[in-house]
Amino acid sequence: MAEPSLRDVQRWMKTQIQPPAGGAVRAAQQWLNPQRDTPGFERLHVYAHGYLARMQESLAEVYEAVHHVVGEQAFAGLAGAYAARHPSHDYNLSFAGRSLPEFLAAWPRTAQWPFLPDLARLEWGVCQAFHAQLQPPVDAGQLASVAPSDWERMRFAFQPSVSCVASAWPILDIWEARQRPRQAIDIDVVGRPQQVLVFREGLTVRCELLDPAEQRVLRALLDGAMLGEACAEGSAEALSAWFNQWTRRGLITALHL
Amino acid sequence: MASHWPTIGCGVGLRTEHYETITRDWPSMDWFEAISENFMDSAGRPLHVLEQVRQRYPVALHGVSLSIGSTDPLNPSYLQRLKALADRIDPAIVSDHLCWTGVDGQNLHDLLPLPFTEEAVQHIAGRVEQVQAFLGRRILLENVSTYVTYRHSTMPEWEFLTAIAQRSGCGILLDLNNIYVNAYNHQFDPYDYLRHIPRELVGQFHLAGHTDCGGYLFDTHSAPVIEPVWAMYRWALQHWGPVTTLIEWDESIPPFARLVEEADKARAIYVEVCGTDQPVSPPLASPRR
Repeated sequence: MAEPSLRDVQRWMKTQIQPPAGGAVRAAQQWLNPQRDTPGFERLHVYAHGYLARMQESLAEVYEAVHHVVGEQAFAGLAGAYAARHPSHDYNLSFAGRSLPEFLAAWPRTAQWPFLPDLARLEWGVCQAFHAQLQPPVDAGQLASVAPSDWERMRFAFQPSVSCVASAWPILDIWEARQRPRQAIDIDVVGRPQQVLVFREGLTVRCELLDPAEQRVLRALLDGAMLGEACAEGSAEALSAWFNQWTRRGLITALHL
Repeated sequence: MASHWPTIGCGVGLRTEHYETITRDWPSMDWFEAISENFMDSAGRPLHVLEQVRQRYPVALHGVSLSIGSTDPLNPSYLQRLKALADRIDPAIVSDHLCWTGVDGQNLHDLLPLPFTEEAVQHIAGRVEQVQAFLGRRILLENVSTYVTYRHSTMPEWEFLTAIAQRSGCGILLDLNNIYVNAYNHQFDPYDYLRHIPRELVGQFHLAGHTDCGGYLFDTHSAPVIEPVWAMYRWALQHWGPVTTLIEWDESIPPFARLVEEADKARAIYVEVCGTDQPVSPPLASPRR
C-alpha cells in the first residue's frame, strides 16, 4: 500500500476532528499506530473534543450575554451546532464566531429567547470595538468649514469601533445584566425596543442608548449614505446636536464630498 | 558549540488575568512571553498593555497559528501582521510550533501532529526559510504534545525536529513537558530525546504542567511543573548551559504570585546549575525604562 501524502493525512485528519467528525475508520486504523492498548483512531477524540471545547470557549468569551441567557447546557449545544455549520476560516479563534448572529436567527431555541440574534449583534459590535484601530477624528472646526451648499452631498467616515444595533427588544438592559446571577435578572422584554450605539473611547468600549431617529440617521451614514439622504427626518436642531455629540466623542474620522 | 540565541532568564506568559497586577506593580520578572495572535489583530487594551510591558521587560512573541506544517500555502496576511507586530515590539525571540493547524482554508485551532517523514521535513524546512526571509529574523519552532503517531513515520521525533532546524536555519524551542508527555504517550525514554538534540539549536525551554487522563497524559498547562520535568530541566542545563526559560500556565490560571513562585523555582535551578548569579545575559538585562 502506498504511503499517504502529507496532504492526504491532513485532509483526512480534518474529517476526524471537525464536526460532524467520524467516518473512514478503516483508513485511520491503517495510518495511525496503536497507543498502548488503544487503537490509534480512538485517540483522535482528544483532537475532536479539543476543537469543540475551544470553539465553545471562544464563543462564550465573545458572546458572554448570550451564554448567560441560554445557560451552559444550551450554549454547548449551540456551539456544537454552530461549529458544524460554520467551520472556522480564521487563524484567530476570537473571530471564528463572526457568523453567530445570523446562525442564531435560524437556531430553533431562539424561539424561547427571540432577542438572541440582536443581542449577539451587539456583542459582536463590542468585540470589534475592543480590538479596533482608532483613527484621528475630525474636529468641530473641520465640520464648521463645510460650505452650507455642500452639506447635503457630504458622506462621513466613522471610527472602525462604531456600530449601532436597533432591536425590538431591550438588548442593552439584557447585555448589562450578563454578570448578575440569572435568577436575579428580571427584565421586562416585551414592547421595549432599544437602539444601541457601540464605540470605544480610549481603551474603554461604551454602549449607549440612542434616540430612534438618531439611530436611523447614524445607520444610514454608516452605510455610506449622503447626509441629504440620511436626514429625511429629524430637525436641524436635532441633527446639529447629534453631530456635536459624535464629534465630541471623536466618532467621525473623515468628510467626503 | 554555544547557542546563538539570547539568554534572557526565566519568564512567564503575559495573560489577560494578570494585566492589572502587572501594570500596577511592575513586578520583578526577567521577561514575558506574549501570544502573538492575541496582539497582532488588536489595537485596543491588549496591545496597549504589551507596549507598556515592553517598555520595562524583554518580550518574546510566541505564535499558535503559523501552521508551518500545513500543506496549504503560507498565509500572507498572517505573516504581514506578525511582522508588523514584531517590528513594533522588537521581541528578543519569535517562535511558533512544529505542527499544522488547518488545511483547505479551514482552521482547526489545534497544534496537530505531523508524520515524521522526509516529505514533511523538506516541505517544512522550505516554508521556514520563507518565513524567516519575510520576517527578517530567525525563528524558533517548538515540539508539540501529541496523542497519535503515524505508521508511515520514518524517524523519531527528535530526528525530525533536528532535521528541520538544521536544514532551515531555525532554532528549537524545546518544551520539556511536551517531551515528557509524548514519552509517556508513545513509550520512549525522554532522556533519549534530550541526548539527541544538538545544543546549538536550542534557543528556549518551556516548562508546564499536564493532566493524567488515565491511559494518556494531556498537555493542559493547568498545573505546576512535576518533579520528573524539573529533573529533565536540570539535566538540560547541566549538559547545555544557560537557556532562556518560560513557565507556561494557560488554564486554571493562578494568581500572579503563584506564577512568580514557579519562575523563581526555575531561576534557582538555573543559577545553581549554570553557576551564574544572574540568569540574564548583559545585553538584554537592562529594561527599556
